[in-house]
Amino acid sequence: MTAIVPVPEQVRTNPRSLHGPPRFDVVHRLVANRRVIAGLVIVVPFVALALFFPVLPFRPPNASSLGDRLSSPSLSHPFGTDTLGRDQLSRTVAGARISIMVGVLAAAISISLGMLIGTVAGYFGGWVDSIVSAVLNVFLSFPGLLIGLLLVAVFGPGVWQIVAAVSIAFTPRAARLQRASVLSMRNRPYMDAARQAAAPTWWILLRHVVPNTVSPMLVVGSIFTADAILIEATISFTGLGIVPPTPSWGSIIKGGQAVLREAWWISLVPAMCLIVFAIGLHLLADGTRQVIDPSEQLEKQR
Amino acid sequence: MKHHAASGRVARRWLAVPIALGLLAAIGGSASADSTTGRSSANYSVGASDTTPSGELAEEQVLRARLAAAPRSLDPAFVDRLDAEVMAYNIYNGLVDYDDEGAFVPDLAESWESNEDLTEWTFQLRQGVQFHNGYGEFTSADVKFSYERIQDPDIASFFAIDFENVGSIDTPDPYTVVFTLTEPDALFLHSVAHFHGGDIVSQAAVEELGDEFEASPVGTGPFFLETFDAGQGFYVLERFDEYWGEPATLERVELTVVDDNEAAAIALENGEFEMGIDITGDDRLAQLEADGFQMITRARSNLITMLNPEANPAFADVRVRHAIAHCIDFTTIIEDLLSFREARSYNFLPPTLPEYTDDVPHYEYDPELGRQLLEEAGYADGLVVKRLIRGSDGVEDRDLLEQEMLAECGITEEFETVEVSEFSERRFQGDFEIATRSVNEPNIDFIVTSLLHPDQFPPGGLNGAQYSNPEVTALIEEARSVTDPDELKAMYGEIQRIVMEDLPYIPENTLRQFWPTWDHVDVPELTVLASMDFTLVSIGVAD
Amino acid sequence: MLRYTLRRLAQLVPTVLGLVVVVYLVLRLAPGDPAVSALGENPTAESVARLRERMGLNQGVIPGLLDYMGGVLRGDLGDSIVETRSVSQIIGDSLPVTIVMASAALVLSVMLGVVLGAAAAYLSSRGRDALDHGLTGGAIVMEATPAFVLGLVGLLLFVLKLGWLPATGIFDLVDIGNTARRLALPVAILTVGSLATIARLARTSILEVLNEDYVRTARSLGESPFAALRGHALRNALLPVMTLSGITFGRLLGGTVVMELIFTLPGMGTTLLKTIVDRDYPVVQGIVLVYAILYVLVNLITDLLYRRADPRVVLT
Repeated sequence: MTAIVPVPEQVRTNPRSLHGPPRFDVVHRLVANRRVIAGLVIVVPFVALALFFPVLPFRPPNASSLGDRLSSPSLSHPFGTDTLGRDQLSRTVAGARISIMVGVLAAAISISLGMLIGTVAGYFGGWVDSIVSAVLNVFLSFPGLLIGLLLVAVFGPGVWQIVAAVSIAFTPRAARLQRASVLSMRNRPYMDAARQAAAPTWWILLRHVVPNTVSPMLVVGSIFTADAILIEATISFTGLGIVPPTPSWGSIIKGGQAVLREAWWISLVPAMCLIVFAIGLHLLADGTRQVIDPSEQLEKQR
Repeated sequence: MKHHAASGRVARRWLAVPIALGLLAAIGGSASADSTTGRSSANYSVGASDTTPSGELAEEQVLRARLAAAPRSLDPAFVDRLDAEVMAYNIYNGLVDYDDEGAFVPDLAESWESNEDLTEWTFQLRQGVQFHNGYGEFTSADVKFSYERIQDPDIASFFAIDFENVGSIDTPDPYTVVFTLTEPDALFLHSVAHFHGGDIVSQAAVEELGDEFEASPVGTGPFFLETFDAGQGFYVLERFDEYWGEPATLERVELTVVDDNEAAAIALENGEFEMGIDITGDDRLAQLEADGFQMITRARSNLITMLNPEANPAFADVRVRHAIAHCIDFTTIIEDLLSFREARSYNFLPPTLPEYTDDVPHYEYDPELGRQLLEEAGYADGLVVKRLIRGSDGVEDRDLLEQEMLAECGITEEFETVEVSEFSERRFQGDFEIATRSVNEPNIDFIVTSLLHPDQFPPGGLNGAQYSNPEVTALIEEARSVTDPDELKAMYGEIQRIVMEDLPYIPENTLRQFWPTWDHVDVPELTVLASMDFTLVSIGVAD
Repeated sequence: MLRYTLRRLAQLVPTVLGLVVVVYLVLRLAPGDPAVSALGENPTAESVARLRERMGLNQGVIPGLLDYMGGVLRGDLGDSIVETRSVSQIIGDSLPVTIVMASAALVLSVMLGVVLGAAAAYLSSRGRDALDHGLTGGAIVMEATPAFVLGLVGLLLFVLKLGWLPATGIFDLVDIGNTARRLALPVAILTVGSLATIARLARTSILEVLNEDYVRTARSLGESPFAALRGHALRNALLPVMTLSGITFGRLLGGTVVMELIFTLPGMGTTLLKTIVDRDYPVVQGIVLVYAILYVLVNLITDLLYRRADPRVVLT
């Protein structure tokens, strides 16, 4: 006897199940997922601090106080001070603001652009796809960090420049993912049905393609944010990207490098923040994937 | 299910990294209190017990020095940066050289004289001087060849401008050279001095090696180039035993490029180098000094701030310029931030020049006066200015302090940070309101002409402040034909006084270079051009 | 297979050339003049003009591009406009370090990753999940930790404090001892960064395969899990790992840049950064070309190996 597992009733009639459980269920599961919770526990405080930094009672991050140079952590300066006597706690939170903003923006821009490009390439196929894929391949043939470095070296230093550079570096990845996603669902029965019914293309794209490809992108979004923050830190660390006095985690770490031996806290604190925050984002991504990914769902059902 | 028990373990594993980092930090913290520990791999140790070198010479006289960047070319036509200059100084000679005060002394020329109107210069050359690698004896033909190739537009040397006024070079006999100039030049000796384009090359070698000469130079100096490994960044100078002058004690000088300052300092402390050329960073230098290194140093150049009235019309008003100078407390900045390096500078010229004078107006910190001047100039409501910043340094601590101080006078300073390459270009084009420059030439005519002559406005010239004062222009041009040293000094003194009164450029501080060296190495002071004469270096016995 | 290989190689050419064109244009259109930069504090109009001439910069953007492309197709990458070596020489001098570092890290992380993953899969199938969860946790942490942080910590600990490893010095590949000492730390850091992800993938893959029918059949016939793995499953289980290796190599190439910076190794990364700042156009273009070729080649090789290992795969 052949063991043919019948396709569950639910999946056959409701195509959305192939791309995850029904909406209301998702939120419920998300909140219940251990990793998502852990991720949120880490990410939310950082984001909150970063968002509300201007109205919180921190010392001004660029206020120098030469008498206090390089003091170690103490009650008045919980994270110590740097070479100009600036309070490191306040600089680290200010740095969080910039780093997180760069990460979120770069991820958002690259995913949006990537979804656009990938959808066009995947849906229309033919020569459009060939050209777009060829261009994507050109960019994908090169490690992302190096693209970022090259662009930043040319654009010059600054926050907007690095957002642009990282966005450009990540867009091809997002585009490729989206294209694969669109390709896989292009020929589903309901898509055929929609085309048969002579639905206009833009309607098909908006009503079917985009909503069904958004969920994998959410997971990717979290990872892209983490990667973008890490790349910004690395680029700022090489001296390009964000330069003093603008505090970003990367530029603060670089600033502390010269005094690593005697004032290790200057580099260490933002480094730890960076790592912990990225861990939080990865947990979030991992947990979300567990909830959304249908194969995991099916496995649980066995 | 298994998940419950496991998540605790998972959480603990994630904590491992922060804990590990914390432990490392603790190690870092405790060890920093005693900076002499941890150098277990060092060949030497430095500490309070070491005072003066014992006087005994080490068996192996090899100096290992760190270069900050790779020399691009050792062809005198293109030697323009410290790394190449250091090597060129020991490989070549010029007709004359500078002593410690910047006065001219004989080098390959034993004596010289000029005619009345300074248009004809005759040099008697040293005899029996040998070139490296068996390229024969040095003669006047080599002098003629060396300088004519600098003039050659096909060579496109950076220093062609130094020989612009040379009409012809004649060699009546193998040991005499006569230069005929197109106009009087009291400072002609600078052009044939042992620096940059003034170095003499072997005609035979250049003709034989062609393009390869710049990596296999042949000169008459106390050392010859034995290795030029650009790929590894490794260069070796070896003692030239047929040198015409005082022979070196050192057998070899091994120069390695380490462009990262931190890594260089670490390597120096670990004993991988005896000498670290151009180590920067005040904290790093302070620590090296505390650890007992000899801080060989020289004020190489002068940092000045250029105010461009074309970009910001406020700078056309002399009161505004004076106000800015009065509003910044340079002394505090220098003492607190740059304590290692610098002296406050009150003159746009570097103090190393013989023509330098201190008899110029000084601008002390006086914010009251500054505010008053601004008010008189019509900027009682404030003034906005923009400073161009080089991306590799970023906005430095001193820039931030200056910004704070200016703010107290009602001047809002904005920063515009651009990438290194763009910074150089914009400065070159004159596309800035405020930018800094360093002044470091030994030839005072070059400095005052490039900074103050109306023919030298950017783009194309270095007169970034677009300064034009007919009185000064006249003095500059006249000084070129003055022979009497006292008269010369008086004229340049007058120029300095007028310019410091007009203040198109605000002097900030001197720029030193530091060459921290292990204390068992006997090493002289840096030369007047901030280079080093390796013939005066010897390695003592290390402890 | 041969046709496929040739076809892929043919595809390589336009991709890589496309990248070169993009980089060329980006560089030329960016602000900054290499001649002015080279002249430091005293650029005069005349010396800048002469130097630009010497550097060959007065050609115009498009003619220069065509010239360069022609050269590349002939195998001539040009000369550096800032220093004495040719581009090929510069790349030849700096390539070995980068390749050795990236390859060593790749090989180590794949080998160790597979071993760890297999161990985790084995233990997991026995119900002991500890290693498994550890790997998951480790993977998350490692993906979140930037290489330069580990590099700084490593530098602080092993070079500054303990002095076990030298900070600088000539890097001579032929001197194995020296090479090992200089590369130990960066390779370790790069390996650790990729290890956990590979291990996780290996573990999942092996577990999946262990649950496949044909393996269960073998086990029911009495084979131990190890034998079953070795005999049947390992190949199939490692296919995804192979694909991941290609991507990992790309990330490692990026990682080598930072490692070279922190540990002052004379590799392509540090050369690239320096020549970008100097606007040494031909060298930047040459290095970008080499990185691209490397990355594409490694991915091609992994695809080919994949095909050989699994004949069912239809390569498009």
